[in-house]
Amino acid sequence: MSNEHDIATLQPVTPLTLHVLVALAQGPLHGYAVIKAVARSSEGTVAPGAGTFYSAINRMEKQGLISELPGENDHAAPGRPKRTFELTARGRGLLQAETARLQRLVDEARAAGAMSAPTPRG
Amino acid sequence: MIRGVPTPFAVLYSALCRLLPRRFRQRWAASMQQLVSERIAALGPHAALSRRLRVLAGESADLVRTAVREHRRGPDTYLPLPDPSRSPSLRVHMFQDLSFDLRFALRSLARRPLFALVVVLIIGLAGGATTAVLTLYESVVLDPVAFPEPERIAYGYGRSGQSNYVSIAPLDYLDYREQSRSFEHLAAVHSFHEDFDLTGDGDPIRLRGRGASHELFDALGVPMAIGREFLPADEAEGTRALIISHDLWLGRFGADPDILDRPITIDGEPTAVIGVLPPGFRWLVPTDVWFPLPFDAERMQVRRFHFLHLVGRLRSDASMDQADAELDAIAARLGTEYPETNDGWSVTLEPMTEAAGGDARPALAALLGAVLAVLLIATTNVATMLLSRSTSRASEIAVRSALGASSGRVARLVLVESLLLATLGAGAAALTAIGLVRWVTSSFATGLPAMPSIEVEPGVLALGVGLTLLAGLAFGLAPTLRLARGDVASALRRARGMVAQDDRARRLLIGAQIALSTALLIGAGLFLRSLWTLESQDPGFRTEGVVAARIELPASRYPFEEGTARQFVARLFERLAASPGIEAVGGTSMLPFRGGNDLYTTRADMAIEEEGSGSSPQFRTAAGDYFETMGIELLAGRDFEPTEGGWPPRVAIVDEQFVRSLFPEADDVLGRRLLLQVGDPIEIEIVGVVSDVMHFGLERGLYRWGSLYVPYSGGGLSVVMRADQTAAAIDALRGSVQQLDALLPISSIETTRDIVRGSADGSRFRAIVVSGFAFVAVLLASVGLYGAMAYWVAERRREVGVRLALGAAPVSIRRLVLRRGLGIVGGGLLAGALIAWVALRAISSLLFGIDSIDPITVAAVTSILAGAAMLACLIPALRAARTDPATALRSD
Repeated sequence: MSNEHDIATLQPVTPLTLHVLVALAQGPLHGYAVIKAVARSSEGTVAPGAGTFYSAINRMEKQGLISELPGENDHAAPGRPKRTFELTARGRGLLQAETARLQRLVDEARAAGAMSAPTPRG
Repeated sequence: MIRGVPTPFAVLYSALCRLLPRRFRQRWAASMQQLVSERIAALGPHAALSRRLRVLAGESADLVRTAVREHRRGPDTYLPLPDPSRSPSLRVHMFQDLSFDLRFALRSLARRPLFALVVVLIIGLAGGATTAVLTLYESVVLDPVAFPEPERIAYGYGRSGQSNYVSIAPLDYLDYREQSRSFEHLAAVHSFHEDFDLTGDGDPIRLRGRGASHELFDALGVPMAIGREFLPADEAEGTRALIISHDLWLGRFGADPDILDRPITIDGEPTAVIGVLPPGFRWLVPTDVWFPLPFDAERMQVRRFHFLHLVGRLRSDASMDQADAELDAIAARLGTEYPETNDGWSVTLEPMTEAAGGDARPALAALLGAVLAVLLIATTNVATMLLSRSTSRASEIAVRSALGASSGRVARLVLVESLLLATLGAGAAALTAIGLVRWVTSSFATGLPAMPSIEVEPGVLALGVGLTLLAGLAFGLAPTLRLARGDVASALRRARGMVAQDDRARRLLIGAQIALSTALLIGAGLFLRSLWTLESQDPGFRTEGVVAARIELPASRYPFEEGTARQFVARLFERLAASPGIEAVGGTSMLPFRGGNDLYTTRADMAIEEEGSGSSPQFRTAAGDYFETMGIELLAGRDFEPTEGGWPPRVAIVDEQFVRSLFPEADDVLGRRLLLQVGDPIEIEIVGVVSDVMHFGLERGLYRWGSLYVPYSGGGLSVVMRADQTAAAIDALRGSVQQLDALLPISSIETTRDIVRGSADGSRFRAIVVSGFAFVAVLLASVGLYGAMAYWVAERRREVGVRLALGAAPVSIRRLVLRRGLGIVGGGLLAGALIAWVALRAISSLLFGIDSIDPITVAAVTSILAGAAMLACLIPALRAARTDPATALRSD
């Protein structure tokens, strides 16, 4: 109960947050891979800069939606670990809540006829 | 560090990362840079640099936005951030942050108003002066000519013997045009202007006109706004056709679209306007109308008369040097074909841009050097001040950090303060620049080429202000970066350690400022001396109490042959001589310093082919008591009789220079006969010799072939009057002319004093400006010295306290400070003198009659600087001597 209440306070999420959640839903990824996944799933409409991206990651981590895995070394830059992130249970819960909300929205739009071509009037 | 872009850009991004809150930066900055590297790498190994930089630019902007957001959020809140696209309040937050920083910066500056004021003034003065000189430089030197491809336009003068900038004869021009292969178009223009009266359509006004061949506007690449250019058919005597300037068309004819269909009245005769020039067209001197050169007229058929300059557009495959050589070769051929007239004559070719900006360029270059020196002093001054301030703030910063402010936050506060100072300074600079340019263009109109209309352009202002802002930012960033590095304890430690190396740096900086100030002061001294030498030249005529005005007697109403002009002038002079207050009246065809008009003259007692038989003296007419009015002394013989007017003249008066050049061996030339080479040579007799007169300004000295005067017979006249009340004399002139002929306009009213002073305008301009810069430089250097000494004293409070406690006399403390200050100054003086000595070579062309740095100038400069240094050191010295040992030892 308290979990759902917590999650509700985080809704609605920003497009970037949503796409990150979706990207990580399929498994842990490192930074650049997340961005690529976000670009793909958003069809290019969500393209954050490095600062915005890590700002969101930082926030999502503090909100307990994602966590960082101890990572292996990046071969391109020895000594610099590739930061890998994965969804937490809370994150998964938020993702489910948000997709459900969006699905309700899509259904309502379809019922209002927004999904078909507009009929000419007068 | 970001890979895939040039290092400076990667460094810039890393530096910007400093704007992030510390914890965020420590956690994520490396990943961010890695992400950016990967993004750039994803563009592909062959991606253009511009693409990579564009990505980096976008990332940098995003970084700054993130920094703001993270600062606003604070380190430990988990609040969801409102979606920027949904909530307008984010922007409000950003502004709240910024406004807090601004208010804080304003408050902290208000606590030290003198510091703020001084910094703003320094930046304003230096930045403004730089912008002003850059504006002048850009308008006059870099871009003086507004024609297409101006570097392909050549301007040609005649050259003979030592005179490089005289004129060309019409027939010679035609030969050049026919035989030369280097030009697309080769045109000729009159080397002097002619004035015309415009009547009808309003008050009569005087127009400035110039003759040109039909190729002129093709050569310049200027199409007519309305109508057409001249055609070869227009170049016949008697053609009454004009091309008028755009300003004249707008101002006088109200932009009449039918201007081509109705004639205007010039000198009483209907004249057709066949073309209107486009707006923005400007000639080397202001010109209202252009008329075609009548190549079939008699005076155009004589190779002895030189009164044209060339304007040519080079062919795309020809260079200026090639064209010059080609014209010289043609001139040589003409010299053998027509030895009596063309032997020794050739052509000087120059790029048009030089003809336009020519005289002013070396002066402006020197000024640019001076202003950059001042800018250097100013920026080092500001740097020192801001550095000192940051050091003294170290403890304030330490306290803030201890109280929880992240060093990033504090650094940002300092940055905002520096930016605020820089912005205020930039505003002051803009105002200064605009004021300076306006002052220069209004006071020194004759010192600068008229061609460009000089205004502070937004582009140059942005550059000057930008330089200033950049300097301000650099000084702001330096202390900021130092502060942002690390924690409280090390900051304090560093503050103490900074003293030693800062000391040396400061001493060097101040020494450099003193050196530059010395050089500028010496320069100022030289320019002032040069001006004084120039102005003490004797032009050969009275400069006090003589006023002149121009009257043009149009041939239509005062036909040459009937002598009506002479009668008018005689009657006019009668009235004027009778007017109270007018002591003497006379007239001449052209005043000294107002142009040239030479006429080839030969000795009647020698054959023309003989060497030394002829010369080209300046040809003038004289009416009334011209010589007496102008204070030109009659050395031998007599003045003209009233009956001797009329054309052709029979008598002439020459000056000593003429005698020296054409009759070097003779004692007495009275009674000698000369031949004026105008078509059929006119024989005249020398009846008088007068003292020399300068014709082309104080700097050019005497014209090498002297002057030849004949009695006035008609045409334009400059009336000269000697009177103690020049205004009353002009009124009398106006009244008399009005009574005799109401349609005659009077123009160009000026005193001989103005004429001579105007000739020195260029020198005066340079002297005043360099002196101004020198003054500012000394002021700035003194302020810098004061700051350095004050700081030095403050740092040594403990040591001074110890000395005083051990029994040292206050006077010894004072001496200590002064000695240190003077030591710095002494070194600077020597270095500055060296700089000046080297620079002297570069500016010697601008100095009149000065070839070395004289001891007086050196002594004056040394005493000025020593005095300023003493003053600057005085207060710190006195304060040091008054230190209370007890408090000094206690505090730290």
